Amino acid sequence: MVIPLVPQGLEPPSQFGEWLSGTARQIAPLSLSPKRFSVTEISTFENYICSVEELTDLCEWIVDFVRRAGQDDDTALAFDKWTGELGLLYVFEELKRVGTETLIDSSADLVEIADGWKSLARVRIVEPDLPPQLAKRVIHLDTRIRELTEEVNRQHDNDLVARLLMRIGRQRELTLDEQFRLADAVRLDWKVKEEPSVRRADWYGDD
Amino acid sequence: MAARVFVDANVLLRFYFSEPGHHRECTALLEKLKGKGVELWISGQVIREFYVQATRTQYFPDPNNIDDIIRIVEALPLFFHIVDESREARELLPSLLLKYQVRKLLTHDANHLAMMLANDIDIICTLDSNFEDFSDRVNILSPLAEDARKSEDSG
Repeated sequence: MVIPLVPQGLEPPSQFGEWLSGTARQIAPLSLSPKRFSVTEISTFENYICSVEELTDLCEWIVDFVRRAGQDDDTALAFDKWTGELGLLYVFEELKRVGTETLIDSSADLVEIADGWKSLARVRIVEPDLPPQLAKRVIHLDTRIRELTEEVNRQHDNDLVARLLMRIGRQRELTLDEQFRLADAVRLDWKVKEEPSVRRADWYGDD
Repeated sequence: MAARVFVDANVLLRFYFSEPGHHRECTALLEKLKGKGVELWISGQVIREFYVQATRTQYFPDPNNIDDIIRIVEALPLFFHIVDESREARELLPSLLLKYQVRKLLTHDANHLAMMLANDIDIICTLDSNFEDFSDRVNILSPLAEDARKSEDSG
């Protein structure tokens, strides 16, 4: 199977969405032979301005793909090739243009997936060691998420990190470093008018 | 069982706000305890007291956004263990009120003590000297004393 290129001449945004969903349907059976996207072809993506809904759909589709990719080695391998060639990071770059909240939620989905195997291993549903292809994919995702968070605009860095870590924290216990990073991300530097009292008696007021 | 330390609201406020005095000492101590595997505990009462202080214009005068404070409150369970007020703590409180002849505002401190003892916690990290009244039942860990000790060690 060959994944079609983005047809030239499509008018954004609806036709892009149609192309996207059509591509998704073709990839979905997962007998993948990923089409190699050239730099030129990828650059054609950038000519399309997509709606938030379309990009959200795209991201949900990718996440669903990743979830299913965790179920067997063949799919994992297919996914690994596919992300390597299209580039999840590129998709997230698109998402970044339309809203950081969606971006971070999607990143957290990927982190959740990467942690999923470990959870299954803990209850001995799967072997502790990841299948080689899946392990490679997890590293691949971790790297991409790290790249993603590093590339996020510094102005929003703390907001994004807080949102991401709080979302991850609902799925699993944060590591010590993550806990420190979260505390730092939500910390406030508000100016002080009067030094807050350390005494509880001053807070409640006396009679 | 890992060592447990109860964190008072005055330390919590200085951990999450960088401008009040002793922010550095409070942050250093909590991070050091965390790094050593000590469990840091707070209670619903501590959270409410933290929120009351954080929203006081007497302390923070600018028209700030309470969303930022609420986000801290939401993040608390990811850094601290939170003890719920149990029946055991409620039943313990009267005996503590009687023993220490507690009146008026010290009742709030006594309630903290009841929560701590009901959960096998006998160390409180605080800047409030009022807890010295309960020093036969609780050990006080002051971020300032810790800082002073460190200075002495390095000197």
